[in-house]
Amino acid sequence: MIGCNPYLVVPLLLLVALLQSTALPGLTILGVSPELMLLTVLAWSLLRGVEEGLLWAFLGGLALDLFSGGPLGASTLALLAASVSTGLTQGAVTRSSFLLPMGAALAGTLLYQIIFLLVIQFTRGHVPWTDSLLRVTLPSLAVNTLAMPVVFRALAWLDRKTGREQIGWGR
Amino acid sequence: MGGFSNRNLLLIFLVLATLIGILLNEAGYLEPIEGAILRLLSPLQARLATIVETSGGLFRAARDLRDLRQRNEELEADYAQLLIENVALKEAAQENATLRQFFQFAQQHPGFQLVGGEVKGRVIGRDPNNFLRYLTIDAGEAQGVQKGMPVIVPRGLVGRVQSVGPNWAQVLLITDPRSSISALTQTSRVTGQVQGHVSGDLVMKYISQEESVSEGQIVLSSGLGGNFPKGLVIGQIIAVQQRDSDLFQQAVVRPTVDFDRLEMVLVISAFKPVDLAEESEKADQETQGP
Repeated sequence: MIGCNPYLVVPLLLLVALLQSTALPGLTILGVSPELMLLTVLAWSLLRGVEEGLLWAFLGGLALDLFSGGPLGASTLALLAASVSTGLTQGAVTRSSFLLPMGAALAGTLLYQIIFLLVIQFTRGHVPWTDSLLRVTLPSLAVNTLAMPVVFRALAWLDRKTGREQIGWGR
Repeated sequence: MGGFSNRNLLLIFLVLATLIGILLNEAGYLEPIEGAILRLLSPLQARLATIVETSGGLFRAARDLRDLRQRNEELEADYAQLLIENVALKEAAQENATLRQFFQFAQQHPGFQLVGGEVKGRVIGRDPNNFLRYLTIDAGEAQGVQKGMPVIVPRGLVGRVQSVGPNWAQVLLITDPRSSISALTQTSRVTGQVQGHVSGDLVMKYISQEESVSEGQIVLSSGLGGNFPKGLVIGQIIAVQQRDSDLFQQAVVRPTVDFDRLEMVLVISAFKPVDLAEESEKADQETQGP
C-alpha cells in the first residue's frame, strides 16, 4: 500500500525529517538548505506513481510538521500537491535520465513552496511574499534541482530492491 | 479507470484529513498528541544532533585551513568579550545617569536580576523549512520552561519560546519574519520595532523621522509591550534607510548572535511575559462589569 514494508517506510521518512531538522540546516547553499523530504517524495512519486507518492507525502509531511514551528499540516498539504503534480508523469520516467526528475524538482519546489506560504498566510497572517520568493524560493529551485539526481538515484535503488510488482493500491 | 478513481478518493481523503488537522491544530486540540510524539522523538533528535555536531566538525576541519580557523575563533571570542564588556560599561553608565534622575529607580526596576532564573538548553534541531526560523531545545516543562519565555546567549537575544513540551521547547528566533520586538538604540535611546527578515538580518522599523540614528549603534530590547525584559542586546545598526517622503525611517540591524552556530541557549525563567491582548480583554470585562 505504501510502496514497501511500512515498518521500513515510516522509520525512513522519520529519518529524512530528522536529517532535515538536524544535519541539513548546517548545509546551506545560496542561503537555503536542500529540501530532502520534498525531493524524496517527488522521486518516489516519479518511480511509483501518484498513489504511493501521496501516502509518502502524507506521512513525510506529518513527520516534517512535527519538527517544525509552523502550523501542523502546512508541509503535508504542500507535499500532497507536489506529489500529485509529479506522480502524473510517472510513465515517462526512465532511471537513466535525470532530466525529468530535475524538471519535477523544479516544478515541485515551486508548487510546494507557494502552497506552504499560502498556508502560513492563512494561519499565521504575515508572509513577506516578495522577499520569500526572491530569497528562498529562487535559490531553492536551483539547490533542489541540482540535488535531485542524487536523491533520485538512491530512491531508484530502493525501488529496485523493494520490487514494484509486489505493490498495489486496491487493485 | 478504477485506478484513477481510487487515486482521486485517496487524494480527497488525504487533503481533507490534512485540512481538518490544520484546523484542529490551530484550535489547539492536537497539542497533546504532538507533545506525546515529540516526547518520544526528542531523545532521538538529540542523539542525531550530537552525531551531526561531531561529524560536522570533521568536515569543517577538512575544508578549512586549521590555523586560520583557530585564529579567527580567537579573534571572534576576543571581539565578543570586548563587545559584551563595552555594552555592559555603556549600560552601566546609562543606568547611572538614569539613577540620578529617578531617585527610586532601583526599587522600581530590578534590571538585570534575571540571571538566577535561567535554564540551560541544548539546541537539538532547527526548523526543516527554509521559510521558518525556529530552534528546538532539549529543555521543556520539566525544567520550568514556559511559553513566551525569552531565550538568550551571552552575546544577545535569541528569541522566545513558542511552544513547549515535557522535555523540549520550540523557540521562535528574532530573525523570523513573524517576530517583532520593541527596541531602542543604546546611545540615543531612539525607539522602534525590530522585525525579522527573510535574509537573516533584522530591520528596525517605525523610527521617527525627527530622531537621529547612525551606523554602529547598538540596539537593545526596550521592554515595551511586556514580551522581553529591557536591555537585552539585539544587534548593531549596519545601514540606515531614510527617505523624506516616508513617514518613518528604518535601519538594518545585524544580530550579535550567530544563529547558525548556536549550540547552547539560556531561557530566562524569572521573566513573566505580559499578554497585552489578554490584559486588554480583562480590562474590558472589568469596565463592562457583571
